[in-house]
Amino acid sequence: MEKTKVEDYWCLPPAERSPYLVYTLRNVCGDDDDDESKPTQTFCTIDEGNDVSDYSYIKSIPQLRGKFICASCHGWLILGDFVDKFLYYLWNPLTLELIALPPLPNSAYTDDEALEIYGDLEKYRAYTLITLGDEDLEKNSVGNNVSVVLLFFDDKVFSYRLSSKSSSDISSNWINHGLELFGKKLTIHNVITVNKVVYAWAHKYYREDIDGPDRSSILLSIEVANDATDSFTIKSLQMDPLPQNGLVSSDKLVDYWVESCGHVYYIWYLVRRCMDCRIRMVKIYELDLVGNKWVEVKSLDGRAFFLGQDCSTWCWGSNSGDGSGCVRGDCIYFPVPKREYFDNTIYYCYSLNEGALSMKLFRSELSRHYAPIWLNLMPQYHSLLGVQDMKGKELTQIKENVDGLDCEMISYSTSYDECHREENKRRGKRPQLSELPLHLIYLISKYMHLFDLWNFRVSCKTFHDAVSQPQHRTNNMLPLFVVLKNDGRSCEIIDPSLDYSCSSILQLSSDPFAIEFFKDGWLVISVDSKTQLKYYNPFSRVSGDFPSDVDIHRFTRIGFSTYPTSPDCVTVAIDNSIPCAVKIYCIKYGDESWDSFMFRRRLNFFFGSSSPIYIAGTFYILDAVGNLGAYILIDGKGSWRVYNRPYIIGNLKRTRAYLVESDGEPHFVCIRDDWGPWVKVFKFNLLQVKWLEVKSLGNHSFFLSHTFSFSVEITKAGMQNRIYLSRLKGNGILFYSLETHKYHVLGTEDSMEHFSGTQEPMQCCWL
Amino acid sequence: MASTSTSTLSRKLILKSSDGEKFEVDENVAMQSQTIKHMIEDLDDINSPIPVSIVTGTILSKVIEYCKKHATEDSDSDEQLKQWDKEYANNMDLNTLYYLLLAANYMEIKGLLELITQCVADMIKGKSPEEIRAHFNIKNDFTPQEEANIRNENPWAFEN
Repeated sequence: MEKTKVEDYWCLPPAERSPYLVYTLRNVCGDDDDDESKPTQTFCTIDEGNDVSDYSYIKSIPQLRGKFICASCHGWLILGDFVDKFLYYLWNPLTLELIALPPLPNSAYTDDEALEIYGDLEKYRAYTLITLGDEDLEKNSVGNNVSVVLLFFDDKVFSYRLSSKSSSDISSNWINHGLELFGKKLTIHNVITVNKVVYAWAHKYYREDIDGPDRSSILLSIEVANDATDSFTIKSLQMDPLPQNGLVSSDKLVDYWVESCGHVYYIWYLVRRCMDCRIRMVKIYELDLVGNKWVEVKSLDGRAFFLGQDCSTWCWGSNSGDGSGCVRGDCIYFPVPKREYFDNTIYYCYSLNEGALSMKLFRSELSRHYAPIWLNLMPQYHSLLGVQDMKGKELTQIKENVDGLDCEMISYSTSYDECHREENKRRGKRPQLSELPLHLIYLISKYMHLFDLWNFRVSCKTFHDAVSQPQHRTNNMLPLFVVLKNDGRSCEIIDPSLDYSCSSILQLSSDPFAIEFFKDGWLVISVDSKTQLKYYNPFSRVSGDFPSDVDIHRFTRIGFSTYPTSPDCVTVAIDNSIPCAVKIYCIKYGDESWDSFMFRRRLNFFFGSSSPIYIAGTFYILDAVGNLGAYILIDGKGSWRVYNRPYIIGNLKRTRAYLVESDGEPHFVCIRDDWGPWVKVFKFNLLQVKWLEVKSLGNHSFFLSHTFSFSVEITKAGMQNRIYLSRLKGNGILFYSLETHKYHVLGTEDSMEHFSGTQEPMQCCWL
Repeated sequence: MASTSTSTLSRKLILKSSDGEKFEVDENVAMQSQTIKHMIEDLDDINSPIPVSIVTGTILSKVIEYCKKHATEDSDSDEQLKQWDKEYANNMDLNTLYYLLLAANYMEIKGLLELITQCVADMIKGKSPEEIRAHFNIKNDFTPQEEANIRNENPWAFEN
């Protein structure tokens, strides 16, 4: 699959049309010399043309010998020494200039830290450098554009000034700055330098867990005086609070800075603290320093961002104005932090337009390497001596692309124009279908698919009047896959049962909403930043509100027994925010307020990723590691018990767990999303109280999603015994066949071993 | 009418199309049509041609072809019959389908009616409103304003 070009082992790979993701491996054995300090670097290309990243270059760059890459900024790499942790270097891969920095003072590490081998490099370290402005460059005789290097170690900052020193002059020293604001020590979490100003998130307290800014975090700007003192001017930026709607206690926030075209962007995503580590929300904000606010960004105007700790970069996508890129525009690319996944061979691509996440895999050997660094070798993206920068490039006003959606856009495989010409020739000879008796038109409509029916009604008055809006599914044997678009208002509908590629885009609402739960054609949606909860049936257009007498934003999972307008319907909602207890809210049809039940946690039950399923008076729900919780409501009193998960060999990290009701029994589906097909189905026997592995689903197929999963009995042979996933390849839905033990794409002959090259919409459901 | 029950299989009927063409068919073939069945019950002399007033000879011959196939029981499996139906419908042009649909409706042949309506629905499959109009020779009788309104009728919108 992967080709490695071994020629030019010592040289950098050519500047591709996208940044490289560079992995460093310290130990190389069996080479011409066995020097442990001679690392290899694997330069992986991001090429959207291929499912698996096809190209990687293995190199051993002489300037990187004995060193690892800490950061990549403004075209420079900040390198650390493998052996002597007091030594740092700067290397410019474009000019090949290497600058050895003087050793850090002893105070840089505590005694213990100094002895410790680099175990946890990501712990409270941040690296950046300030470059010279244009006016300084003219005066500078040295030739490089670095002004000051800044290393942030916990609550200490070390600065080193290079300007007007030659690369051999390392006589001056690092300056140690304490970071304080209003007399309080600060710890820096995440930095970026733009136009000589360092922006950083600072915590007032030391935190074990680096977890993005919290309520106590402050956004700082640090300016370094342009003199020998390097004195800092630290300002706390009085920003409007960062919108973190949708962040619940079961999420972990991962955040990055990116500078592009002179603007500063702050991007965060939420990873569920659960065995699947699912990324469930991605947000991009522009730092508006004039208005002191965060402006949500819905379009990158054709740019692609590459996110990494102290190495974020960007380039134009292939669909942008200059058309030079090979990556998709309006997408952000990021490898997952190693500490979340114990695996850094995966990177994600989030498409802003589609609101969907796709995953790509690199070779598994890379898992032994250091956390990767983005390296942008394209000179036009860096301000360098003699290299033209991008300042001349004006960005159009970034605007929310929410109004541009046509209400009904249908894409088809046949070309309309061709069809139109062909048919026009014959026009006039034909009898008019619209002259048929109305009951015959109605009869024809009964055989139509929902999408066709919508179009049929729009084609002429007679059809519109003869056929009413369908109140139910029409002729779609399988549930429809509905993907909520990034604007939060419209959706794309894909029918897995159609043998031709057809999808329809509809606007559902004028205000953004989020899908919280769905079942049997009903949706539960939240609106107004999750302060209100509604139920809605798009077929019958029946809708209603749930009472909002409790903190709805705390609900992590919702489920109901039948359907919301049924007199015996019970709706439950899980509140995951209380430590040491399980809190379940419950409401019956017609009630005006939620009841709540609290149970002390036993067996460390932490709610997982699946919504509750309802079987014979009991709601079942999985916890974060796959144990099964059962909530029984009898005569207004709730009871709670927990069953152990099925015995599965191996680590459950990165395993997606789904709970499905099929034939009156809970079924547990686990899917590893990083290796190839590893799908297990277990059924919980309620009488024997034990899990049994299931090898075939018989005439059923499962429909999975991270919101709700269910089973459908299917009569048509060939469509059964499948697990339909909420993943797309192009417009085709991915499913796992229990017969072939492979993933397949509906409507194509494609089969695959893993999810690489497929997209997972962030918000989707089956109706 | 006493004799009809004893010699159903051997009896022949003559159907006369709107353009005067005559077709001699077995009674059980003709009885696929509920309309003809009722007509026979009301007729005294079954030897005189039965008028199928709105159906032309060309169409009537197609109808009879369908009825013959479906009158001979047990000869084909369900699967084979379905396959035959499919080929039968696929060989028709739109013109024929249109009049066949009217004929099946008039003659009350349930199976044929279902087959043709299904076939027309299949033709609509995957077509945009413009393509539907072009294919079926349908005049867009909406005013631009009406059409805009109807296109904005969001079938799934939960608020307006």
